[in-house]
Amino acid sequence: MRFFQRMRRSSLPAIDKYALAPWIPIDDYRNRAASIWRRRIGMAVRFQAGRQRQRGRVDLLVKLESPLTDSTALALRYNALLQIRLGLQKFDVLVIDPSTPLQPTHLQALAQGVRL
Amino acid sequence: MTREHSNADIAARLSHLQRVVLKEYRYLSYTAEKLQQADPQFRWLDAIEQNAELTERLDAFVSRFCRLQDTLGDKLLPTYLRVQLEPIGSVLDNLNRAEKLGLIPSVADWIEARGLRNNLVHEYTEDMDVLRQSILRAMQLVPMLDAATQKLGGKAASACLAVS
Repeated sequence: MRFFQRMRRSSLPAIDKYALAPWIPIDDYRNRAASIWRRRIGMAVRFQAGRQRQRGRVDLLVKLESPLTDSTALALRYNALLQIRLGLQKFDVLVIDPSTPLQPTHLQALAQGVRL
Repeated sequence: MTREHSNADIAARLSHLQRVVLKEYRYLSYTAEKLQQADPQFRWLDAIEQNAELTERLDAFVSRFCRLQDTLGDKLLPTYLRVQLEPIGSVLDNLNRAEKLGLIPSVADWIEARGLRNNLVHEYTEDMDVLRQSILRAMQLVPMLDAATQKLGGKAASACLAVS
């Protein structure tokens, strides 16, 4: 028993509860995030998931098909739903619509992200 | 440390935190009201550099909004749950428990308020529309913090009497 306790202490890395669980593939997080959008919000969108960053968070760009005046409020709500379902502080969500002026972060996500 | 001492310490902490949240809410409510009176739609954000006084008031609002949420969710709630011999877990577990006990109106709103913090810092948020929408949402969430303060503060006060 002591051997296992010692081994656990020495060999396993400390788990950051706010980071992604290392045993769950990043694609699972992305697909579950997309599924939560479809179930709970349901507006027609195009998803673009950014590459996993070093700190272990998922970037999601949600591109709405029609204009929306309060896309920030929608991004906040969606992020809250994701955190409730999948854990705190794991996602950075950007919601844009056709009228949003594209910032460098949006362009980067659109160019390099994985389409879901 | 004896069990009696430990209970007295927890009761003292609970009582202190309960007084703190009431004060913090009073200050938050004052600043929110002043900001609403100045301009309910926050159009002045388009000329933020020319509105130093309102910007200071906005800083006070953001700071008080975040502080009250921290004290309620990260300090008072776990202490109250401990006194009530409820299981204490992660932040999310505690919030879910609080919602079930009727101490906070909605976990989703609470998490949303937590998520607002970064957006509310005007030095970082360069897009004024994002800042405006975030402030308006924070204003909408002030009554939620009021409800949590009254409910949790009231329950904490009763628990202090029962423990001491």
